[in-house]
Amino acid sequence: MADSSPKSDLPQGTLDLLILKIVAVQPVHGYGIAQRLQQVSNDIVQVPGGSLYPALHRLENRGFVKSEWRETDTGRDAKFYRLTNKGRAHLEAQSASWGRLAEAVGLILSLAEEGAG
Amino acid sequence: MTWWSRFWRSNQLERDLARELQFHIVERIYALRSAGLGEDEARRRVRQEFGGIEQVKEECRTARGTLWLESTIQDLGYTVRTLRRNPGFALAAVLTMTLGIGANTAIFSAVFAALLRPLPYKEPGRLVSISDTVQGMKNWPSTYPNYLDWERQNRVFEDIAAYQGDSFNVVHGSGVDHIRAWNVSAQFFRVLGVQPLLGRDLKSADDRPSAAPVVLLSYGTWQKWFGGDPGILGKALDISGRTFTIAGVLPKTFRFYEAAGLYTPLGLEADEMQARGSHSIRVIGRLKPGITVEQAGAEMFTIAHNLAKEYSATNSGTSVNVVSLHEYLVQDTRPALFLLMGAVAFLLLIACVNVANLLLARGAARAREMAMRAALGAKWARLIRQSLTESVVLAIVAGFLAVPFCFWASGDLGRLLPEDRREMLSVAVDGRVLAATLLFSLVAGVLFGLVPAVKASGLNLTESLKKSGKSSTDQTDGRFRGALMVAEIALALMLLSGAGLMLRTVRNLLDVNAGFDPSHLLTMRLALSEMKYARPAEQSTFVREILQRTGTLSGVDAAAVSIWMPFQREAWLDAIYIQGRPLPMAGQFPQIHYNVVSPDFFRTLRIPLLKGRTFSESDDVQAPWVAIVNRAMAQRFWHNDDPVGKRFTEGRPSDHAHLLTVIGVVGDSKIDALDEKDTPEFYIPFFQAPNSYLSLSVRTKVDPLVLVSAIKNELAKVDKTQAPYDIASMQEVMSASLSTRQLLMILLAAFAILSIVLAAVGIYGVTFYLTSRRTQEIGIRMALGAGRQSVLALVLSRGLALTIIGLTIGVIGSLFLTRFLVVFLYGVRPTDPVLLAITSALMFVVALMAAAIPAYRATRIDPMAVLRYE
Repeated sequence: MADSSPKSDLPQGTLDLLILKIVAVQPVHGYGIAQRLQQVSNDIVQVPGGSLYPALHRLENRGFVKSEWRETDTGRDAKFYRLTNKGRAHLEAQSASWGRLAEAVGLILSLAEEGAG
Repeated sequence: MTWWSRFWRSNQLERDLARELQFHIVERIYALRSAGLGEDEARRRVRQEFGGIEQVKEECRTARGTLWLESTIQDLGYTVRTLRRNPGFALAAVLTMTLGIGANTAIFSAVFAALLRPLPYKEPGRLVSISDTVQGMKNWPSTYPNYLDWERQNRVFEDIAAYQGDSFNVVHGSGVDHIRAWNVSAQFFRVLGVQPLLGRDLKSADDRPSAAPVVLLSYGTWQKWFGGDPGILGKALDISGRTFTIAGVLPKTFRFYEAAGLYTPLGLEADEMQARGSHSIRVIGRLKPGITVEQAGAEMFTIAHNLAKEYSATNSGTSVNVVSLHEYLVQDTRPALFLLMGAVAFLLLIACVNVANLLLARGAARAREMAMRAALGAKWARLIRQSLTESVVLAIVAGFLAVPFCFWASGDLGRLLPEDRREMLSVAVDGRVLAATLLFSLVAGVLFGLVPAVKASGLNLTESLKKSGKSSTDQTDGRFRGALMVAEIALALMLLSGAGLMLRTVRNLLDVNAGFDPSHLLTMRLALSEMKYARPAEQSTFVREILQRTGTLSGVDAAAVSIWMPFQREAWLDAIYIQGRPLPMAGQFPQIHYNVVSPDFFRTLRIPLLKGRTFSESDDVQAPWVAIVNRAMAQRFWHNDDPVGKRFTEGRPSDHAHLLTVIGVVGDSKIDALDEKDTPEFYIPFFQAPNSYLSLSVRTKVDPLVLVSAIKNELAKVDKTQAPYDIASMQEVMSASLSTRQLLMILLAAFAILSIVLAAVGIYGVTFYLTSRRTQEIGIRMALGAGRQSVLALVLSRGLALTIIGLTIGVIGSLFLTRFLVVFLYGVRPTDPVLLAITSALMFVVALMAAAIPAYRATRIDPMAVLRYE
């Protein structure tokens, strides 16, 4: 089951944004976040544990998420992350600017090239 | 979570992190296995995906913003563990630093105390000493009539006061004691700014011959004799047969020169001090605000000049010198103290060099470890901080160990100061110096730690991971260490030369013939109470009796009485005039030492008689006045003529001086110090010129101190109110005169030995390092057939070259620096070539031996093992 599509290397700020969004939907543990990211993006976004967990801890350090240990459905103990109000505000601001950036990039990329038919 | 709650819960957090990551991994493995992968394959893939778990943990910790404090504690733990694994290094580093820090603190405290600390009086900057300069010789005592004129005529001093050392037999409630005292003028305590603790200060009314005698007690005397009883004011005290009233007690912290027990008014003796030519007092003064020492000096110079014109018989050729009191007290301690500062700075240098060497070696050894950790993800900043922690820990430990070392050392250092000033210029561990040194050790730790850490950070990672890697830093490393080795050798050699010079000096001095036989000789002093023994006849009777009783004790060979004994700085001087010679100008009379001795004196001290005869019982007041001269005096005044039969006066001819006839010549003897040149001296018979100040000397068959109580008993039988004091064997007295030099010698020798040891360790280390760098090369050479000798030569050649460079620098340095020792040397030149040759040879041998060990081990390398390991 080798992955044929290239993994995307996400810049740090983007990864933070994505994590916050996943967490905003509902409280989730680290593994769950990785799974969701992969599922929702059709395997394009795959975040290795080595990037994910430092990012999570950073976000918690800044007060955007809060963690607590809970039991999963399968009865095991896991560390769940939840969005805080501060995190929600940051998410909204960052989403808005990401949206503006994406739009701008799209506009530039759709410029007709010289000599194109 | 607040930062500090995180700190406290860091263990918990570690466990959390581990659990969290573990959960992820387990889940992922489970997911893969559910997708059909085998256990092993699943684990492998997850490991691959996840990346290094330790690395991830490390990143999380950093992301969490681990506290400075947390990681420092981690560092500390790590440091302790590594140091425990390398006890040799830790021990060497700590000992070296402790030594450097301890020695420096002790000595700089001493210097600070003696040279810089202000005297313990009010506004000490305004205190000065006023002394006479007679015929060009400075620091002479002054005379009472001059002092009175100075007092009347000066306008620059708030107050001046005169003082004179004395001692008395005192009868107090608990017995009789002989005690030191100062006779002081009324303003004395005002000048120093001291208020009595109890009672009152002296008044001018007390300072006259007609006054009712009063006395001030020192705190110690008050405690010792009266148990601190506040009711003693107004009580009477029998001081040398005279009744004094206790007027006050001085504060506990008051010090003036030696610990004197009593202070009596100088003016009581004013009638006996009318001779303007008799230099018997010393003067201190307090400058008026705004007047400088120079201004005071100028004014006193003028006053002295006028007095010299007015009283030309006594004062011509006499001037006056004003110096700050502090300067006056420390001026002759400077050479010793500066010398020490120099020596200890050397020691510190050597210690630093050694520690640098040690840390460099550490750095090299840990280069691989550091490289590995860096490859695993540790940040360079963290690594640097970690190696800094190590050297700082070492430095702090050394600093704390140095504290007790300081206290121990500074006790002994007090002996550097002249005995009578030790209390005033107290050498104690100075809190500020200690704090400064601890700070210094911390800074040193940081600096030393930085060097290898910074070097390590510049290492090429892959190079250092390969064992055979020879990066360019190795080259500079080796050169640097070579330079350090040269420096160590040079410094060690210089210290060794200094120590050698002092050793020779002390040996030379101990070999000096004192002119008399100091072994089995007991001395003690008696100061007969003036009331009871006012008349010469009474003094003579007393002396005859004690001599008779002491002389017949078993164990006693001979006994004699004189005014003073050698090496006790009590020698008497007077002007003389040789009959038949031209009369010198006033103030130009030769001043010659003389002693007043009982007939058995020369026999007791074993001073040889060279011509004529010694004194006998018949040389008393009814007989003609006679004198005995020593060879130096005969030589000086009569050259090759026979002095027997010649005549001279003691004192100037106009002072009703006696004309003395020389009846004999004796051998020269030292007066106060072993390094004196032969000094002219003459003797007059005690029974012709009795005195109440006596020194009793006893030649014993057995150890002199064994007979002390027997002799004291005999003295008590004659008069129990006259207490003997300063009881000592002559040997003790003479070796006390060497104490400063001996202390210097011991210190320099100790420093030299330490520096040699350190240098040897350094040389060993460098050679070891160099050979370990070249094991490969050596292995190849040996495999190719090189013999032991050529390998040895290879290894040693660099070391030898460095040693020779070091020795050369050391010799040049010695030639240059030993001149600072000149003031202490005796019988040896500072540039003595034989000594330099011996010390250089010694250092060379030491260096050779130190290098030989690792060199020898190099020849034992099994070439096959080395090559295989490659």
